[in-house]
Amino acid sequence: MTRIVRAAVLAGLVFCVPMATVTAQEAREGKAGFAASVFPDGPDRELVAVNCTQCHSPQPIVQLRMNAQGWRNQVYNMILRGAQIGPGQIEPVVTYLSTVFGPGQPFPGQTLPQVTLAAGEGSNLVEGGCQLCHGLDRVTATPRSHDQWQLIVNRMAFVGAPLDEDQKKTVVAYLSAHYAPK
Amino acid sequence: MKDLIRQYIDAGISRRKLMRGLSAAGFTAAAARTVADALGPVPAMAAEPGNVGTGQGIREVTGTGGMLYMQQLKSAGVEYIFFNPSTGDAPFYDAAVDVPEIQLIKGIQEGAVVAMADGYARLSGKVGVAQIANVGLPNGMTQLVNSWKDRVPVLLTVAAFGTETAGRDYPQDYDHQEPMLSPITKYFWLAESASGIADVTRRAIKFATTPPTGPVFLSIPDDLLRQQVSAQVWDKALFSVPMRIRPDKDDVETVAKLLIEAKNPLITVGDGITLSHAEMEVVRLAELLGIPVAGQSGLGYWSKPFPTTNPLYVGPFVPQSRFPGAVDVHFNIGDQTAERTMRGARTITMRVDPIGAAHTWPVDMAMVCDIRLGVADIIAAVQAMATAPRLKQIADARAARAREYNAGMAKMRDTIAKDLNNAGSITMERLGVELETAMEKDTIYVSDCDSGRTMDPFMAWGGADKTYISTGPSILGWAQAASTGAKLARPNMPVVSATGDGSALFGGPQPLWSQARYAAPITNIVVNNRSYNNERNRIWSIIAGEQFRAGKDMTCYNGSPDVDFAKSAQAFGVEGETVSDPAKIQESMKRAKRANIEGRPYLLDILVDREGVGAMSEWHPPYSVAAQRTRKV
Repeated sequence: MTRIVRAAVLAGLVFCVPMATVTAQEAREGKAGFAASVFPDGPDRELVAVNCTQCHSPQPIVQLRMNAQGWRNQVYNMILRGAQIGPGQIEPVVTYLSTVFGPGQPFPGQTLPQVTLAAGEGSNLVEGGCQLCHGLDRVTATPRSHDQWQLIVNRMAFVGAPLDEDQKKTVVAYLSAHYAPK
Repeated sequence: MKDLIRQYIDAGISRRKLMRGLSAAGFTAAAARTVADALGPVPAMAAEPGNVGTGQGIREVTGTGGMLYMQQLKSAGVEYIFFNPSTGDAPFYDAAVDVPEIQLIKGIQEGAVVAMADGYARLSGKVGVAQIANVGLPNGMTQLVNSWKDRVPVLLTVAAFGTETAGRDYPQDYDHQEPMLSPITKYFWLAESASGIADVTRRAIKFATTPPTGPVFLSIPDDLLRQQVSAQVWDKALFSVPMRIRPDKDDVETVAKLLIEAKNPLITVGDGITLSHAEMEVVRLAELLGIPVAGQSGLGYWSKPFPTTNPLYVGPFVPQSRFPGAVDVHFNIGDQTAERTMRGARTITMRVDPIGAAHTWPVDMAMVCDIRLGVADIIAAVQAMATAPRLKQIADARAARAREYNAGMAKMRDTIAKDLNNAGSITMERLGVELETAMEKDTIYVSDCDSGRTMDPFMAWGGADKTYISTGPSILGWAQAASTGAKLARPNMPVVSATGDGSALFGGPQPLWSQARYAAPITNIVVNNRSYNNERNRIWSIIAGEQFRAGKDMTCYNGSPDVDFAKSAQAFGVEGETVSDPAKIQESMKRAKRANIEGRPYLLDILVDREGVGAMSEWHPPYSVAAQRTRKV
């Protein structure tokens, strides 16, 4: 209720308050300040800097790492909410996002916590796959049921974890064995 | 004192003045009341309500304070009272026995009662009357915030503690309720005498219905409701203030000239158009000049007055829009949030509400007027300034660009719907496409579904298409109840409510009880993703604190237990079913429609995918009260 709106106002999502709005020209000329500075260089950076920051800060973007499939769904969702991205701009935006914020891209200024995984078959897949997009602390912090791990691993593979079908099964079995509720 | 009593008997002074006079003469309040009661008309001698005419549109009514209230509502054209009962309210309903013109609609929780009145008011254009239990006032206030933010005329009445007992801190007594309503009403009042009840009632209705409209609160002590008195009641015409105000002529000409000569104009639209019934005029103006129209989408809007299928409608408003690009003249009609500054553009705003206009962002010209008349005046001025061929030339050039843009957007929406269609489960986008197929064109769609906003672009709204109503502030628990009021306002149109599971948990299933009792044929859809999905997305994305880092959704998951809304509806007398297969949505909607045709409400619990960051997580902080026990009782 109120908390929903308050959170949205904080985010600038309610009225699309231009929190760090930049124009295309400013973005191109490097005068975009905050918004453009957090978006790494790359083709079509201004499309993202201009369109996305009309309604929210860069934060929701720069903290995520996803492949093209994941970013495309996110871009679709934003278009349905009013993002001014045109038909011919979807793929350039998706390409930019999945390149500079794709799996394996670093988080500037952040050090991911060191976590020692339980020994077992599949730990190497978790260590290699999950850390491409987030810290292992996110994996180990929350015990989950087998069904939950299956849903999550499938989702992670969809948005960027490089796991084939057999590897997904191995990872789900490993997580269910070591990180399930006691 | 003899003179005082004679004046009272001869109706030269009111009961209140008599009481003051007796008090000045040394009577205690209780003694003065006893004298006044003795001097009042004997109930058996009281004239039948409405029988004593004192002039055209004015009636002298004798009866209880409750009867005065009911008779004044009747004379104001009130058809429905939405209520839940309390003991103190009895004089209202005693009076209702003899006022068949007003139908009572019972709700079983105050929030639902207010939301029903609100939904009725939004669709009927009349004041929605809600009478709720005094002690439950805070329950009703939750939904009154929706009415306040959206300028909906609702009269909320309670029978307050008696004048003798108020302030004694009795179990259900808390002092000075009225100021609690101050931030969310146009007007709030405590009736101070029985003979003044009709007076304050019509004043409250006048405040509610005079543009800019809004909710009002009236508190009437229960002892005053029981007193026998005489007073006038007036027909609504005698206290209506229609506010048919035209804009300044010079301003009209200035705007007309700007809109004709603009290189790249934009019209933004909002709920003020709906409240002023100016939908057709705005379409005419936009089409006359081929001006693209944006707005009416997202939080902060409750209606869609401009047809979304009109080739000039270009979607939600953002200050730097891809289309039409660099705007030079921005004409905002009836929306507060669309007054935001567009770089390089002159901003003109037309509002009914002088307080809301230019409230947050700077504007170059603010016009306060009746929007319907104001837009009609601008149309006339435009037609007077330019020949029809010239206007057509201007409109054709501008509209061609909008048509081209919209063709691309339509194709893009189709692509998105196709790409996001997961055959094994129901996505929001698939549901939007399915509902667009299933709903009749004249459906009134009552939405309370934050996550469902991504469904909306796949459906057609406004004009000859479906009517969309929602709430600007999104105070949850509104739609199922509001749809009941909407159906009362428009009984011959299909009504569909769409609530997120979060909203259904806030507001339901109490409204379903009212739908079942009064045979209100409404299709209720619960868009059920077992989550405050958008809220989780915002918390995880924008704030991105420990919950995001640890993958722990501390607040937003609504499953465990998974509520069976269909079964819950059945317990309240409404048939229901659960839908999880996208291929079966149409069949389910047909069953709902059949039930509606036969005069029964229906509920579809449609299980939809969660989406966004953390969508798959069903984890929630584990806790068991049972496990805390040292004694198993």
